Amino acid sequence: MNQSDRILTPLEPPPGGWERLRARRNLASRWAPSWWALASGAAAAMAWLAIAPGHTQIRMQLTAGRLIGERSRGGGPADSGKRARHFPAVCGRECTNLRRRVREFDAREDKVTVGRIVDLPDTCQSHLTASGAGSPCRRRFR
Amino acid sequence: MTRALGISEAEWEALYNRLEKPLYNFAYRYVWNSQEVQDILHDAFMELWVRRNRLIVSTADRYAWTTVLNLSRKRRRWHRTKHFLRGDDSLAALRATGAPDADASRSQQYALLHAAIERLPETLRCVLLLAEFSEMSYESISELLSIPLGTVGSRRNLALNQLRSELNRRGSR
Repeated sequence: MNQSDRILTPLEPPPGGWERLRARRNLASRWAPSWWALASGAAAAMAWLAIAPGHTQIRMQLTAGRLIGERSRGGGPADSGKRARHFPAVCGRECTNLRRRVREFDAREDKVTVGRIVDLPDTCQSHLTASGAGSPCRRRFR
Repeated sequence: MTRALGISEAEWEALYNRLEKPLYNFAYRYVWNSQEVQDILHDAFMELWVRRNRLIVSTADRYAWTTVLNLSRKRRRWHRTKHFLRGDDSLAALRATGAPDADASRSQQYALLHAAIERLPETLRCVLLLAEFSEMSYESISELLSIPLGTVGSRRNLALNQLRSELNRRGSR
């Protein structure tokens, strides 16, 4: 007899374990995804991407005000009474529109814009998402 | 020598019937909850079933033990994290739930054993429980845990001694 037999006594597992396991196996195999369902889902996703609307979406991680160079605290140049920000002539109209839209967005969302999606016109978006080189707006917005 | 791949449903059932009790006893001393132990066993055997075409019958035992060991450790870690965040001292402070034979006369002894096993280091507890419940040889345990053969015996003896002294210490209080 083993020395430890008196210490660790074996327990009986609850009855019906095998039946439950078999039921779970049968349930899992019944709901296994079929290959044609996956294929049709992938095809539908590709088709949707191909005919997606033309507007561009920017996923923002910070408040929208950051896009136009607003400070974290207080208002921007207009709110603080400082000199108004000058935008390059090449895209001044679009960027003015952008600043107005971003402010409206922030006011509407009460500055909680983490993970939100902002729809922007393609012209403004191209200024913002340019790699930096050659984009005067990009430099100004930082 | 080539070995046949694949496990049939009959072999899967036979494996479950053969290993249910030892695996249950092993995992129960890790998570101390009968329902969770059953979940762990079923998870492990579902994994075996999913991979049945790539397994060899002769190594299915070892695969089942390894899976249950890993799942038990994972569940135990999750419990420890939960209790740490709640501010509890350790799992030993908790009562074992769902003990199948937890009648009133044995509950005191059970609580002592529970606390004593919980105080064992992981390396000793694992070897002790495998040696006690798995019915595996020391060679198989050393392969399963990737430790030298002699270490299995020494860890088991050390675990038993610690368990006994802990039980005596707590019983004499």
